[in-house]
Amino acid sequence: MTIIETQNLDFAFSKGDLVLEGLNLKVEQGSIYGFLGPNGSGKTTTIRLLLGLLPNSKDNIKLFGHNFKNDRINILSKTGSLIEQPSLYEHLSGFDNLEITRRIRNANKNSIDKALELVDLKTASGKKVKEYSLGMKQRLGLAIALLSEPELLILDEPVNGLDPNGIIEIRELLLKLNKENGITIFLSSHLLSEIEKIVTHLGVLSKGKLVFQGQYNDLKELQNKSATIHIETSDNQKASEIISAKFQAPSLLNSHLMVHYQDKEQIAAICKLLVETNIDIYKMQLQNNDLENIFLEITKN
Amino acid sequence: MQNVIRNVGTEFIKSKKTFAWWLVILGAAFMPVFVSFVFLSKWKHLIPQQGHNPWDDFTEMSWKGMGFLYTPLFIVLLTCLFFNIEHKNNTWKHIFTLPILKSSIYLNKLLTLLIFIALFYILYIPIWIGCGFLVGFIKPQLQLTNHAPDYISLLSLCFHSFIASLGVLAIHFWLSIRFKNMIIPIAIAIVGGIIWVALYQGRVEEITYFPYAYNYSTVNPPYWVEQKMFGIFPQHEMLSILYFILFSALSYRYFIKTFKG
Repeated sequence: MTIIETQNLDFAFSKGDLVLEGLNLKVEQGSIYGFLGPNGSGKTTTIRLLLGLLPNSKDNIKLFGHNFKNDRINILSKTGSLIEQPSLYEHLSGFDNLEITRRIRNANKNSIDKALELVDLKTASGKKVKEYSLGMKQRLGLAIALLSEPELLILDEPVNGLDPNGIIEIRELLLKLNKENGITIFLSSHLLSEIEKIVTHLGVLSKGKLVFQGQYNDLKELQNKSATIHIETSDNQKASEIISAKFQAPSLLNSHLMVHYQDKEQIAAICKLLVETNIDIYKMQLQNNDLENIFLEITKN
Repeated sequence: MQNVIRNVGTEFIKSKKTFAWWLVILGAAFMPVFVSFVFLSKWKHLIPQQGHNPWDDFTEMSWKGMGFLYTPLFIVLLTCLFFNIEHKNNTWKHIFTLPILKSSIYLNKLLTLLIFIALFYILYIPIWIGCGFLVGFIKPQLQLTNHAPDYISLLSLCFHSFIASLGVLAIHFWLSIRFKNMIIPIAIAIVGGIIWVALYQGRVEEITYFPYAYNYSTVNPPYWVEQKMFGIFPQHEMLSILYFILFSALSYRYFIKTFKG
């Protein structure tokens, strides 16, 4: 079942200045969907549209298979959300913050204890929120989002500003919620490294357009395809001919060759081939092709 | 009904540990305590003549003080503080992602504010009576303990003052939604206060249409304006109700259609 679906979603804050253009999101039930994009690419705007915080005159947003405009209350009752910095009443305790949402959501009284336990804030629940650290606030925001045991969690940069420990804690919590409670999670981030360990699906947004959408493994495949090594030899022309005979033809650049490779065994074979033909190798340099660079490449293009 | 009680309850939780509660308590106590000090310091000039109820003077001084600028500014400040809880904490976006109708959010806020103002009058009554009797005990010459206040008149004044405040309440309810910066509604209220004093000083008939003057008009009706009655309400109180309906409709429309937090 598709939990979130948008069809040609456009949005402009002022006429002619499109912030989002033809967005076709598809988030499947049970997935952890990472919504990636550089700052200002339109992630928060998308999330605000999904939650009805920005006006959308068209009927092109569906959550749980229902049109958001026609079924807002039902959809929101099944959705927990955290947008940018958590919205908290700083003068109140963590418990009071949860109680406000609990009453509006008409959730069970013991749901507060459960949520506090889940985010490990039980001992600090009586403290005023203004005395909380950023990580604690983020966890309280998550507890509020989890209060009514939602089927969908929409989180906007949930690890933004957290220290490495905080990031790991939130990651583990989200994985647990997804695996044990079957919650579908849609989370945005501007850093792939922050979420690559937990996502099953990815959508990459660049300048308001969805430039990649698919399973995380699809992105890994893209990574393999773009793996290259730069080789500088005593005779680049000859080396190129030798490599071309057995492998994909390299590109001859100014001072070196750019060779595409599939795995490390292929690098060893190329090296051996060149040595056997008496070509001196001056330099072999692997090019950065980690996912972060792929992400940068996609968003740049 | 259960939903309304539950949701209004959340508004009261939000106001915990804020100045709004202190404003209601101190606001209700300020004028009776202030008038008591005046009575204690100027008691020689206030000894009643035979047959005169000293509570009438205590009532007049208290209510003229209340109606002058005090009650309208109290309501303006309370409304600003009440909305500032959401503005300051940037919590509108959270409220709007909860499964509750926007119309319910609006009505809960309005209802809670009306309860706060009612609470102000409810607290005012015992504090005012208590202060009067305390002054009477301290200065028996004032004969406040030998007489009783006119309780019916006291309740009636509270009720009419509440009605006369509704117009200002609705205007500032709208302004507090419209402007996140609470200085703007407060500045408008101060300007409104200055204008009504000028209208009063100038004996201008159009004062009947100026909502910031209604509280004082209830206590001390402008003699130069013909006092028309609509049932139990004088004209300015009827206009206060009309302002309340008009500006509530305006703020409701703005809140539902335009306001995104």
